[in-house]
Amino acid sequence: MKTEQHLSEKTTTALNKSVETMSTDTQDKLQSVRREALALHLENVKTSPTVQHSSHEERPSIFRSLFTLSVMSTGLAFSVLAFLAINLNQDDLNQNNSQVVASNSELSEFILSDNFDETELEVVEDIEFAYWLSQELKHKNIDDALFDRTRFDNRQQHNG
Amino acid sequence: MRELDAFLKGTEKRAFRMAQLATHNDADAMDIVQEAMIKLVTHYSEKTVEEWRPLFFKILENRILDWHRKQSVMKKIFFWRKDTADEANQNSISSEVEDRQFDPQSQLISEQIGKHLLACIEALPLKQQQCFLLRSWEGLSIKETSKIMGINENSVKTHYSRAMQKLKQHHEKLETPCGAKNCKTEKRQHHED
Repeated sequence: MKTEQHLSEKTTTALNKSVETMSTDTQDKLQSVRREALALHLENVKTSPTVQHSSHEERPSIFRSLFTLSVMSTGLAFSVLAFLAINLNQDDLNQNNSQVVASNSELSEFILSDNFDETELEVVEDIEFAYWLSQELKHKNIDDALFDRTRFDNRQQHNG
Repeated sequence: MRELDAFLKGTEKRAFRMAQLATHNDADAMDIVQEAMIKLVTHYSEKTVEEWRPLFFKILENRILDWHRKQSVMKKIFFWRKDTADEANQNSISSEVEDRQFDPQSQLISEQIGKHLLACIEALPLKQQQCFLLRSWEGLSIKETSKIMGINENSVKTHYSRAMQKLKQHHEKLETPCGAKNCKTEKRQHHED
């Protein structure tokens, strides 16, 4: 560690010496480079009110362009398409549910006819619930449907 | 504005030296320093004085890395061209120090060792070199160095350690009479002489 520290100090000394003994030509070049950079900064500072103003003017125009008629209409078209796609997808899901679960009564018979263990029965009951819920949602508000789970359970118990 | 000027005045020579060690070329080093100054002045002049130093070195490191990437791409594209680094070595620090040997005071042995150490730093791989300079010369912490170089702290330690090992090996060679520890034949010749 001492060797490393000693070496580090020697190297630092050598580097500092190389900086101190830098040629005057290089020093002059560095000075001019520094002055150019600061002059550029001063120029930016002087023109900054107008630059800011122009940029501020640009900002509303950028936002303004976002709200042009063509952009709005395109956005509206996409949202309508997305809405239709979601609805179609829900219909597909409902069809799938109806395919998976042919009817509530048929499912009940299937459950009764076979010997399911508890976990399998739960899965089947969940599928049954999903199918029943999809049917209910067609006619009711979704908020009411969230509470229908308890009603469904109660009904199951009553039927069971 | 004055603070910015004072900061740049105090940092420009060291920044130039760092860039020169990395690029082996005065003109490219000057361009890198200029770009770093302009970027600092243009984008970060409103920051505090304490923040300028790590920011400036971060910008400098990025410029150096960009230069190296560009050079490696150019070498691949123009593979038939002579390596410009060999030509640019004429501008290296060791030659600049040699130019100053007309001064009798600079004839000290420590100056010679210093010259060789600088040449050794110049020959280090880029990341080891920059890591060593930032840690040892600029006195930055491991955390600051890792942020500036964009690498994790363990990598900083590794690069620094490897740089120190190489410098140590080179320094030991300089300090032994024949430059090699296990050189028996040359030792005999020394004794005979």
